[in-house]
Amino acid sequence: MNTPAYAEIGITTNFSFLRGGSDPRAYVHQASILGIPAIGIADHNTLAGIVRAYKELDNAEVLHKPKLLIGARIVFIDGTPDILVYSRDRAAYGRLCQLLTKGKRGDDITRIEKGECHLGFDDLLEYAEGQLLALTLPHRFEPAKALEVLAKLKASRAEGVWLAASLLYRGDDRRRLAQLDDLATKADVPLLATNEVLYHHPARRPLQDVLTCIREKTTIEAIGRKLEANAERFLKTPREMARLFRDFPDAIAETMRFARKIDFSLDQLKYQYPDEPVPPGKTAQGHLEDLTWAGVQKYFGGNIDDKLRATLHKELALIAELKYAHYFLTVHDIVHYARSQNILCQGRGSAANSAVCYVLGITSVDPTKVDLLFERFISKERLEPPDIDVDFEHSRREEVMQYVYRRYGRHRAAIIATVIHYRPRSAIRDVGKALGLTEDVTAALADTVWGSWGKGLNDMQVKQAGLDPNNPMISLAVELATELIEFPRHLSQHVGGYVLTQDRLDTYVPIGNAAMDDRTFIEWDKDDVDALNMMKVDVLALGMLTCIRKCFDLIDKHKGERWVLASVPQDDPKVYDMLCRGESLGVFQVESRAQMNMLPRLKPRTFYDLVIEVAIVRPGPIQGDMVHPYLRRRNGQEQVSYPSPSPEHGDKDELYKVLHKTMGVPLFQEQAMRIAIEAAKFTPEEANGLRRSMATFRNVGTIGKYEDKLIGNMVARGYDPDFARSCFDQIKGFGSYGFPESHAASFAQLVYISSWLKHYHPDAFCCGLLNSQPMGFYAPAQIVGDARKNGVEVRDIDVSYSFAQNTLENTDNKYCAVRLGFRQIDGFHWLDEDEERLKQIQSSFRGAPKGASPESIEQHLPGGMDSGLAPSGAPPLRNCAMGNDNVERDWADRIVAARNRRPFTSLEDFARDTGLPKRALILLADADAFRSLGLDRREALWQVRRLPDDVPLPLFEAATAREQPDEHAKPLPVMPRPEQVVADYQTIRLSLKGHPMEFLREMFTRERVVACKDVSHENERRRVRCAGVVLVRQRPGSASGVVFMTLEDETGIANVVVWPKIMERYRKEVMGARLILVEGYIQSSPEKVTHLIAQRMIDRSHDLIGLASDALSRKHPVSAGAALIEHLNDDRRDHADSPAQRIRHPRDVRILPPSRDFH
Amino acid sequence: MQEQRDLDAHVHDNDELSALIDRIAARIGGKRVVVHLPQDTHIPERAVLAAPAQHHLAAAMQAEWPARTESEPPLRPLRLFDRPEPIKVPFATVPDGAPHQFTWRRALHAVVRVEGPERIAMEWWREGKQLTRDYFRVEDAEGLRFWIFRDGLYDSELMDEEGKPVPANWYVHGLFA
Repeated sequence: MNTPAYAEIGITTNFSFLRGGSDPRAYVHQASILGIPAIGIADHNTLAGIVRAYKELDNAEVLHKPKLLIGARIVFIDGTPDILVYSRDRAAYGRLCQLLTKGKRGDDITRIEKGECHLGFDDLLEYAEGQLLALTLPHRFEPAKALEVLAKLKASRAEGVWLAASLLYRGDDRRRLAQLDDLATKADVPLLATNEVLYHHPARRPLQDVLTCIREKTTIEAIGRKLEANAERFLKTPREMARLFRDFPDAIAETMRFARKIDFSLDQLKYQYPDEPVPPGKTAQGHLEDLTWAGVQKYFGGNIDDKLRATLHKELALIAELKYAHYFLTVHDIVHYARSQNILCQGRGSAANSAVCYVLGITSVDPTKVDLLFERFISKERLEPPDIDVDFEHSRREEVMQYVYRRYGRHRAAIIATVIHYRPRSAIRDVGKALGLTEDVTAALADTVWGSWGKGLNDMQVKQAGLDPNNPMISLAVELATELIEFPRHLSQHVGGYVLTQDRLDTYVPIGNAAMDDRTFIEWDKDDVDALNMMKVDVLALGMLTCIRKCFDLIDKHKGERWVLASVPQDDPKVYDMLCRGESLGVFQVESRAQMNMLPRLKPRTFYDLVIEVAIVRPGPIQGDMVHPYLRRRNGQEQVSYPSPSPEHGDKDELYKVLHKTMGVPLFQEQAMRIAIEAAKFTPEEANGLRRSMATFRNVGTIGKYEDKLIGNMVARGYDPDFARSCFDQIKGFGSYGFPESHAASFAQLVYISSWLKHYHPDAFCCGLLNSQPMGFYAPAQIVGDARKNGVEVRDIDVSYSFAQNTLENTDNKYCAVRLGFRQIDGFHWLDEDEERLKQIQSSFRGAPKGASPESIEQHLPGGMDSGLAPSGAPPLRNCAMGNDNVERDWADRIVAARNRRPFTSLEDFARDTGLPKRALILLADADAFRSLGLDRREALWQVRRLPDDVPLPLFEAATAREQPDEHAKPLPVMPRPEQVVADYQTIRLSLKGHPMEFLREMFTRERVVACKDVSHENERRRVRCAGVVLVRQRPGSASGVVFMTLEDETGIANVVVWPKIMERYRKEVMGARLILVEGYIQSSPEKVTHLIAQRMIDRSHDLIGLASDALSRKHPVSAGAALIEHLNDDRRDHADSPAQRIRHPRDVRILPPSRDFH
Repeated sequence: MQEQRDLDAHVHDNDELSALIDRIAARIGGKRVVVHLPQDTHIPERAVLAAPAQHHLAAAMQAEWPARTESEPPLRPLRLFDRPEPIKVPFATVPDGAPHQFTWRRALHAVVRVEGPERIAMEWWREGKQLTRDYFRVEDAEGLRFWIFRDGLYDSELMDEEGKPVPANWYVHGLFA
């Protein structure tokens, strides 16, 4: 029998979150396997998954490419049954996007929550032109209502109307189909067969059931008949569909007629760059060239050598040929705005390979200092738009983002999405819950995964959690969770990637509201946008830029020196000396434990050494086993050699050219590419594919197919097979973490500058770091400790001297003193000046006269482009009328304002003059901030409690007045120093008065425990016992099972290594202790990098409690420290693709929890 | 079924019924006087729970049963057997055809009317191998209506370890009025 052709137009993918059981790509493959000529993906009120399906058509394994129909299933809020909407052509597709945008953004009156879509039937009718509409009806339906809907649809401007029919083995299939047929005849619409597909294969049914449980927030035992009764909703073969519909063959034929009417494909989305940055009368290319040569003037005084001149010409020519000028102009425009507002910024990534970018001021990698590889940035073969990411100060990035919205308008600019996927942890948690496993079981399973990004769990991990992998429910949970990993859960906005279009963005893709106010984002993510060649600009945030700017401002204010990024003197040997000693706390990129250990081994002395240092200490190079060979070669322990191909195949120096700067060891992503191209003769497309498979961690699996090709080609050309294999292994090790050289170079700039600041201005550096928190690796306690060690005096918070921010105070000594600010007090309310500035900018735009151009408004803002900006700072905050509602948020300013009027002499004065609520006074007292009034913390707290409450009722005023006890009452006992220190840690998380360990030192010495400073090179190979407060626990991505701990005491820190066997035995101690005693032996390397190798570990957290004991009852059980285990140098957390995980950062660790029973 | 009059009457009726239940239970045992409570599941034998009437009368009176469209024939039989009874089916069209005749309790029944199948898959999260059932509502030449099912799907479930097909078992699970 001739099987009639059949198109399945009712597919739901897992982008209908928690509903569809299969990925869009799975459907493409399955359609190919089953010989289905056309498939239509219609997810619930979204087009989020379609680009994935579209891209998958290019996969070579898809032998019989189905025609991909683009549509959506509109689910209404007014009771109308679901309608499948497919667009006939580009214009209709634009309307579909606008329809969905309307549902997600609503109008200006009601705000629609992120993720929701509110559409009524009339909305569909409004956008019906050019759409093919198929009405789907539930199992039981009202014919009259259905007729009404069909009639209205027919009367609209739609391209066609159908009635969808499905046979799902519900028992009354035939009867129901007859009813539908009857209905269709009455309405004069054809029947359209569909299997209402929820997954690509029936084996997915259990997972789809679990999704339903998760969605309905119940367990599999309780969910009952909300589940599908059977597993029939999979993608069926045309033959089977024809058999099911044998009594209605027309319904089958109609699917092909339906598919043929559709002309639209994503190829037709022709992207247009926005026009803004081009001044009228000029072309984009012309303007770009003008700016380029102007930049040459600015940065080089017009004086450049021939090589650079040639490079610039070459780049400009290529930009002209590929028509990318707009792109550069758009980014330049944004950077120019930022600079005009004194916001520090710097381009990163492959853009740093461009000399044009340098002279435009987009990047700061001097092309005369580093070898640029322009092809890495743009190449003719790649035909991808350039990827320019720009880092801005993190505290002011929002201003830049608002600028982009203002400049282009919300209908042309939106943030791209990030797809939040199920990770092993969340997968096992949700699946476990759905299967009815108890919370401690799922928590145990979830915890074993250590926040890893690996695929699923194995038996050992299950056993480690204390569970039996043979228990059927457990193994079922693990199996299903493994299937669930990588499923999308929801969309979130990307960290800072914008899409900008010339025409309306909402005709390309639906736009929805983000959780944050005033933010909108499109449904597609970074990969989708790249696949469609749309322009993306990344406005990223970098904490260190904020820190540097603040440092520069402080130095200007207190020392009268004005520095900028470009003026810091380069190549200073003293700065490199400091780094060689491993003194890098607070320094950008090189402050982690791993980096600190690497610095004395690598001994950077030049800028390029920093570039290497930045790139090298990452999981990629470590996993690829590149670090040690490089170090050995650098230290002369291994000979540098460059294997060659056989003479007849190529130039014997071909690898030398690629690798000589890194001693023959590939350290950068570009080098991996170069090896593939030069040594394995990959074509540009293949190299591109290789690069892509390295670029996203999700594609780690695909790199395997390049393995044979690379090794095979190299061997064929005469390379040693072992060498070829090791090359491939190294490249594979890059995974997603190999750095491009240019990126490392941009970062190295900041490494140098922050080191320079740390060395020459440790006072400003400390202050700037504290004021830019949260950022970096270390907590305020360590930052302050480090500054003091370097000779900077740090002064307590004090109501008579402190401000909201940490500040500097001039001294007679070499360095200023750092005065801790009110912001260090947990729970204290202070206004963030950067946030306030942003609000001011936003409100002045909202009140702007209609038609005012963004530029004209900005010129009148403080700090606007032509306003003669004061060099020292960002636009000053105007005292716009801050009403009383700001008392709550503005405690710090009230203190400053009050003491400017009159210095404080007593607590009563203070309370009266500032008018602060009692809560604030208590916080200040507990933070010991009243010393300048002669009150220590205990006395201050006592006095504060005697103060009347904030708004005393008149009736009780007299009463409270009488209750205030005699001023000459007996003095309070002095609070012992250990308690002071503990109290400090509880309120401001650091103490200038001492370290908790110092009070326990006597006891520990009696137990023959040594101090952290004794874990040193001199004591190599000794067996010791050492105790300290646990600062950090880390697990490097490569070395499986080993854990690094950092302990701190009053003498410094010690690094502890816990090997897996020890970890197994002392897991509880490692994970839970706040204060730990470690027994082991000291191991030290020739470069004096020293560790304590743990053999026994004892939890001594209870000793911390003993320190605090007073009537105010600070005694409380010291609960276990957070089970935080960080990946060593894991920048996946900050990777554009990775969603922010709820991992607690080391700097947020509390050594001592705040006192609970306080008031 | 109790009519719902005013509150007092309802209570009054309830009392009468309770008393009756108690008397019968005293005679034959509390566990043998049951009320039926609906369970939220697709599995027919679990869709109804028999519970001692003495303790669950109120629940039974307030129970909500799956809605039935008045104009449609019932999808579930009036009488459901505790255990499905095997029937012999000589021949049925693959993959989802109903038998033309079957033998139950030694009597041969010729099938003249059929509706189905209603495919009910088992609860995969429970232990033990479970087969998907295709249920058919069949009427024989005498007008008796049966609820029968085939236990297992051809092509995917009715196979041995080597992938060779095994014959299907058929059952009658209940009778319609």
